[in-house]
Amino acid sequence: MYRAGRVCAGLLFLVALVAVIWHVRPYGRPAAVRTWRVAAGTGTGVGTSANIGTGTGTAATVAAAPASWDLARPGQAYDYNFDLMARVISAEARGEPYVGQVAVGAVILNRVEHPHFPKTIPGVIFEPDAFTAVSQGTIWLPPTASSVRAAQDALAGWDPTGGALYYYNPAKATNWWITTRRFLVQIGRHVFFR
Amino acid sequence: MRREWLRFGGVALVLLLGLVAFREYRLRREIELRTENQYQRAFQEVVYHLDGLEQELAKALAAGSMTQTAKAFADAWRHSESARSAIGQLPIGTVPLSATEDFIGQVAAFTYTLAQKGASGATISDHEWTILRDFRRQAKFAAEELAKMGRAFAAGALRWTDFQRDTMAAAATRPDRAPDGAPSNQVTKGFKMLEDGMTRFPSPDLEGVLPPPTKKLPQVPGPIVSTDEAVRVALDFIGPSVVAGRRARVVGRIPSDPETYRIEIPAGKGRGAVWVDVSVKGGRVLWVMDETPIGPATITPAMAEGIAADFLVSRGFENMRRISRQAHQGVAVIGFAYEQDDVLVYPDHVLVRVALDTGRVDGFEGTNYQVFHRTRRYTPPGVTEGEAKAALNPRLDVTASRLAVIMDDFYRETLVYEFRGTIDDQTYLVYVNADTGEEEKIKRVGPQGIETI
Repeated sequence: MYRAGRVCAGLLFLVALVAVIWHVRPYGRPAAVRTWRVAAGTGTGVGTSANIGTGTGTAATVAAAPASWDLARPGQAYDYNFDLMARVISAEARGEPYVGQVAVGAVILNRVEHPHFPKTIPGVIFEPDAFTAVSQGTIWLPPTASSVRAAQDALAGWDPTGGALYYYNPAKATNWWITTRRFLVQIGRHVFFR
Repeated sequence: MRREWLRFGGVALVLLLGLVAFREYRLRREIELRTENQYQRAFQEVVYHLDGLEQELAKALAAGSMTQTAKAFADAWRHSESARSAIGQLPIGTVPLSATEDFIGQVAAFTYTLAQKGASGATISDHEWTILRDFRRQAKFAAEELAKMGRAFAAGALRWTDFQRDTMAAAATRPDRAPDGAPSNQVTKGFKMLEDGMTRFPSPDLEGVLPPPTKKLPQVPGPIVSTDEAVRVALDFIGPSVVAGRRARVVGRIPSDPETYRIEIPAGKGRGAVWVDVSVKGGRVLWVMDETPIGPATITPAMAEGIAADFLVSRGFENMRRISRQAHQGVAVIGFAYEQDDVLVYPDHVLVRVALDTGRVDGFEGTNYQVFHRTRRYTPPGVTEGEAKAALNPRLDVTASRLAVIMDDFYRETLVYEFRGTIDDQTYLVYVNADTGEEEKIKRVGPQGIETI
């Protein structure tokens, strides 16, 4: 009698455990990680300092602009290219000198211009195994304020790499094929090639 | 009793572990298959578009009328761009494919140029026809080679995910060994066959037909300067108040276009590092970046504009006119172009970055200005402004006009009339050739000025 009860209880327990394991999704909740942190007001396509273009901006409106990272560029809707670049810069060049952060942005743009690479910023960034930050998913962390500014400078036209298409961190990785490229410059811990 | 429990527990544990392992395996396989299918789709698309490209090039070779030719070129261009985009989705970053990629880039640029020519009614020259013929042969070869690989994939002998894993493992275990480090399998062999074949085709003479595939700015005019001279130029440019007694050093000579000395003024005395690039030839400052942290804004971007303009005058940039302005993350970036005899010279443009906390200039970008700037001599416009205006869309509500110089991808300068006008809620800049009266270019003006120069 007892035995049958125990077996029943045990089986029930087992079934419950299996059911639990089967239903917990092992790959996390991507929706929570990928929340876009867009500052208030961008939904309308008008940024926090939309009056800049007209030249009537006042000190008050400028000071009110959020100090944290903010996807709202003056008078523009959410810009996915800009956001993606800031994310890659943030994840790839955290702790690098500011020039080194602009440099990572410049490499992305140099690739877009180059015939050997995809023609768009998302195309370049999501090329398989092109950026560690993409392969490892760290680009989905919120970008730092300085990387947002670096993305802006790279898009405006600063290129501290002298036209580089590749870079790597010799302390972290070694790539046999990159040594066949032309060395340009080292900035912080990154070495840039063409 | 206890024994029974143990036995039962043991069996349960094994069962559980087995279940968990099986589930993990199933999930992993599922994800791998999805990835594999993505790669397969991308690869088959490359084959499809190269095949389509070959067909359209063949049609263009045979077409008699320019209408048919232009149509074939437009389709060929679409196929080559699509092929390029699909290649970018394959995990072949470490596979040497430059000849193939060069080919696709060239075909895309060539067919695009010819489609444009066709749209304007021009016919293709004999030289262009020969290039077209060579391109078709190459496209045929590439499509056939890839189709061979496609057969190996279809036979199940080859999987992209396996290839990707092998590549990663090879890079991790033998990082310093050159080609040996690359795994040898059917994917690499297939691409090697393709690449070797592509390099054997004679490269077509595209001089003057297509702009150079990668931007190579000319050197700055002038003699080569020494590092000491470069440092002096850099220190003069950023000014004693920013240098604040710090010592500058040359950290590198960069073989870029144009070639530069990289000068660093290290961080210290409450200031961040300052980086300056000075051209090796001509000894001109190409760009500056000051890393001093930026505090909360106290000045407006409009005030920054005046600061930037004063800065340019003090550094010897005369007759600069503001063309763009954007403010973001505590800085304002203001664009200026050179003006000569009331003609706005867009190739000679600079950017000045102003930190909005203290209103100091903390960045400068003037590579194009330093490379291209000179006093220009214009031939008088062949058409009057009124005649040029006739080329415009009559719906464009013109609010301003002026003469300007714009530059194309060949670094050729053209004197144009620039018309600013609006349609709907958009502002445009329309450029009309001042010699021929033809519309050259249309730009949309964003809130911060011209979107691209």
